[in-house]
Amino acid sequence: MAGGLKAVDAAETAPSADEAKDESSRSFHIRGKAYVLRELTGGEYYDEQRVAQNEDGDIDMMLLARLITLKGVTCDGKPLDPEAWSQESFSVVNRVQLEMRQMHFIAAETDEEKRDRLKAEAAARKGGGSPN
Amino acid sequence: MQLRGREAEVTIPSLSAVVARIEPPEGEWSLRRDEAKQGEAPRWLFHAVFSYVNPLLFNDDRFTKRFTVRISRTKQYRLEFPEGQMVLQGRSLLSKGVTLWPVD
Repeated sequence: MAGGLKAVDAAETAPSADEAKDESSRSFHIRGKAYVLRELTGGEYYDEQRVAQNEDGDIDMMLLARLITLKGVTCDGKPLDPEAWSQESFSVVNRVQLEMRQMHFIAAETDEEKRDRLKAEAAARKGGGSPN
Repeated sequence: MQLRGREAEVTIPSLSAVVARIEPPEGEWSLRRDEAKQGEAPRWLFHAVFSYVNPLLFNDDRFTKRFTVRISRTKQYRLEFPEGQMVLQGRSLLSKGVTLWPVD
């Protein structure tokens, strides 16, 4: 019976396919251009991390941010061109990289955490204050 | 005619990254005048042993590299390689048909 209860809990907290897709990509416009950001897989991320190792064996985090941006971002449906991207305004580059860093360097929320957060946010909206 | 040196650098300007470096004591490079056709820029045979190289970035065709060698304290040259001539073998590079351009 306990096994049955677990199955119900898992089903309740599992995100729909659409929700999961939303969380693994972000899209927005900046200055009229459409950017789509895709979460890299673990394998893709570690490949880029290996590329970003400097001669001391340390990871160059600035370089890594640039590499994962080039790997996971499209602009108006096309992959970013490294040369053209280096000529783009820094405020645009910075915003796109910021979004990529948030997508990859902030650990993913578990479905249970998300459910609790949404509940708390809904209660706060309803009560106009803390849910507790 | 032959030129030799112990200082050089390969960068990827679009990433602001240094992908290879030649420096003493283990690094060295040499340029030997090669045959050139009439009216063309002189061609050189280039050999290098890098002190440091990031082969993953060096061999990544997505990125344009800038290769500069230091001839003297005040003189540097940028090397241009024919298509497919910038191929690493371990820490060594041997290329034909290289052209030299002075760096201001």
